Amino acid sequence: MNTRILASTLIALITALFLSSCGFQSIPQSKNSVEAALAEVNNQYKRRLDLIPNLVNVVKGYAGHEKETLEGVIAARAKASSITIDPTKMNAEQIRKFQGAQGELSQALGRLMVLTENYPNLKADSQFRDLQAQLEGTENRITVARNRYIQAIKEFNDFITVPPYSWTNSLLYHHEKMPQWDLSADEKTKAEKAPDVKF
Amino acid sequence: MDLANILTSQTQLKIQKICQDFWNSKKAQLQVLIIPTLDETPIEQAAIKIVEKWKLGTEKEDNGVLLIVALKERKIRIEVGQGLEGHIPDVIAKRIISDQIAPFFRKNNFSDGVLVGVLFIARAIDPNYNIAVEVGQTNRHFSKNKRYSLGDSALIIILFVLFGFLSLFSRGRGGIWRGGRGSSWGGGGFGGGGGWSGGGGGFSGGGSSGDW
Repeated sequence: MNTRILASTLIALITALFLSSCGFQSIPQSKNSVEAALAEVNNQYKRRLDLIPNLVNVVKGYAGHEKETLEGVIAARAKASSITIDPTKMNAEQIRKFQGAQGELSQALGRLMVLTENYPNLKADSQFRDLQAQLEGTENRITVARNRYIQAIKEFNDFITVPPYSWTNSLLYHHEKMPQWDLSADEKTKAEKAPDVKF
Repeated sequence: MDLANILTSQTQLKIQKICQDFWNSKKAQLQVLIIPTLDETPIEQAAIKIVEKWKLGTEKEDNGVLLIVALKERKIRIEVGQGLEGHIPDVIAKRIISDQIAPFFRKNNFSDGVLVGVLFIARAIDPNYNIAVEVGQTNRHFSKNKRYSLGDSALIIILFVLFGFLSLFSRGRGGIWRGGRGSSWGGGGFGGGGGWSGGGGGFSGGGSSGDW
């Protein structure tokens, strides 16, 4: 009897050791990191949304007749606001839509900022300069958050596809690989951000 | 850390003192990095890599801040840790760069420019911080207190040397930085900023960049 108890205890211990070293904790932790990273991305995009009304108002004060560009920004912002994501229920389709809307907003903002180059008084306005600083800071934060999100997804995908953690995944969790944040959408906005300035 | 050898030793000592004061009083881990060139890397990318590698700031307070200057590209950036974003919001960082540092740089006065930058960053974190600073051409005085005395310099030199020794022994404790793309400042192997490390605070990309 004693040997049996000893044997089963030993087996239990080994199993526990195996599990803990093979992703039992790491996989859920990694999944949580991905969700947190996405929440942060969402956070920073929202921060950008919040800056836009003031920016539009200041520009209107100097370049109010540039209706097309200003309305473009307002419309893009409204669209971006309406597409929300829930980090705990990540859905590739939803994320793609979100990215698309934010990308369009980036383009609209880009056009607005290029336009301001034609208005030296606007550029010298201290409120505008402050908003510009805030916008640049926010865009950088978005970039940082996005890169960390991409990194978190990569780590998670590594966990569930690379042995031995992948075995734990197949046995216990059955997680699917997460789709990577599609950088091509962001690249597109960068390319489109610099149209020619007509004098 | 002046990799471009552009600051006078007097300026370096002064900056060292300010950074040390803030580290000792646990308000912030403030570091300065001057590099000859960014080698194609955008300064924002370089800055975030550096603060992460150097592990600036404590984990609890996220109070790291980096002032980085790239000479060839004529770019300046202040990278602000999450815990300091209340003291140094993006707008303030921008103003320090464009209103305080850049004017000196345009006159090729890098020592005073960096010193003023560090001082304004320090003041943003702690408005009561006082240190006697005399800045060359414009003769600005930031404090009406006593002048910089010889006794102070001796102490600082000693501390500097001490920290230098400590950094040799504390390799790998967050001071070493091997980054970049194999460029001149990515060679690595030197201690980051004097051998102290807070363990690494959080940076969310806040701060501001500018040029001159």
